[in-house]
Amino acid sequence: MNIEFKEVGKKFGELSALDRVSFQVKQGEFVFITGPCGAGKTTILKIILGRTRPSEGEAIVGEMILPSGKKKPRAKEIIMARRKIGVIFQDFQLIEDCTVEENVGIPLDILHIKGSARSERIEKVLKKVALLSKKDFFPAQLSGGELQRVCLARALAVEPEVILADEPTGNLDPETGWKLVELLDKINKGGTTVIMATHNFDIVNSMQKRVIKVVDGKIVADKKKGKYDN
Amino acid sequence: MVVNFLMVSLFVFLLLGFSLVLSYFESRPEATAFLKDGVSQAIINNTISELKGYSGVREVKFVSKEDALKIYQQENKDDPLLLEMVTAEILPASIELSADNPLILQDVAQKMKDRKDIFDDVIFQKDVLDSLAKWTNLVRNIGLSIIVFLTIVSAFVISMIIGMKITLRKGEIETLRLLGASNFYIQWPFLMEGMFYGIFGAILGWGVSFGAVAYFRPKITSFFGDIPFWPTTITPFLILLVLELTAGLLIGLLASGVAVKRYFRR
Repeated sequence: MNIEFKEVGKKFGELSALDRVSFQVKQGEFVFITGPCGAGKTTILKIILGRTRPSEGEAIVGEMILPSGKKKPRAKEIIMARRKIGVIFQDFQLIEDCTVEENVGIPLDILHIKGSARSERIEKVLKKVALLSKKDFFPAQLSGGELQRVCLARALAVEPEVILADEPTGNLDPETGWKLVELLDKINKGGTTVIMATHNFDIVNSMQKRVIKVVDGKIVADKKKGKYDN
Repeated sequence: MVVNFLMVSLFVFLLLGFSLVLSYFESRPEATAFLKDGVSQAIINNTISELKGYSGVREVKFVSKEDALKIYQQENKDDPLLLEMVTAEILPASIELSADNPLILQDVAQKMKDRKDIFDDVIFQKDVLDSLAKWTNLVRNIGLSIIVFLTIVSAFVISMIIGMKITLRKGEIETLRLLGASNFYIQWPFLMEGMFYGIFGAILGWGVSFGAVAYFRPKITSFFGDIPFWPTTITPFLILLVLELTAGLLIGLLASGVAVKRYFRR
């Protein structure tokens, strides 16, 4: 799944969140989107997920086209694209009444994957994030780092083509944050695109990955092996 | 919802009963003509022969004063107070007439009314039938109005409850949407819940009213005597149950559908 932004602008009322942003992300890339708070990082991720539409320009995510203006994207395209994208939210967005296993299984239920196939996938991803022993725990019983790993497991359950991570280390201590990013790096090496919005400069500077820097809604730098302050 | 279907069941049972009583009387058109005191037996016999000669008249029966006393004593045997001071002399003799259909009976009854020298009074079953039909219509109209009102209220309540539940779970719904769930996947549990409320209300409402009917049946049957007030088989009750289940399902589905559409349109 390739992602392309063509002169994308986004306005929320009078506020301009993005201003003629253009970039491409090919399948298998690891990309950091950096910048200060309010720069537009989350807005870029929201557009990729089809959560909001561009006010100007056009965004293409795989087969989903998000045009600006009156033309609306087809609901089915958005749904199909989202099923290929795994998302790690900063605030986790886990369902409190469901166990770890049930939360991780939700995307599989959506895809009507049942029975042993479902169980095997859940077991596989929980092993990957080292949470198999806690599959019957509820979110309230887990630490911040564990919750984020559950999110990652949920994102991985559908074997996504792209993982979007919005400030995944924001609520974690440095050590746990590192472990999470290393996990994402490992997953990326398997061919999954990873796009991570962050303002954790330690991680960005150490990872030597592509860095797109956004300031006041504009891309100010796009380096292949970038640093936080390009 | 339970109250709604309870009222539906009770009114349907009542209407069923009234219809059965109406049918009973319609299938046995009867008139009773009370004879004046002093009319001779010869005149009575001539009158009976004349009445039997009319086409469509099924049976003509003479009830003498003594016969009338026996009938009165039998009907009031449990109430000795009513038996005191009552003799055959007080009670009038009568001629009971039955015909094949109410129209024939109406004609014959009118002819008897015209014979004021022989008959004191003619009670024509049509009056009873008209009264019964009037009451049946009244029960039907009142019942229908109450049922329509309760159905609207029930549907509104279900819609509000489902709407509140959707609002309480809006975070979860948003998460499901972002994970690629279709609208149908998200909406279906709420629609199912609405249908459940409808079906549960129908079963409970029917169950309670059927229980009440079963409990009061012996008393009501003894009140009506030979006149059937209840169906002899359970089939009509089961048909009503099936209809109520279907109605409950549809009302629940519609009500929850309205709540779901309202939320997802935002």
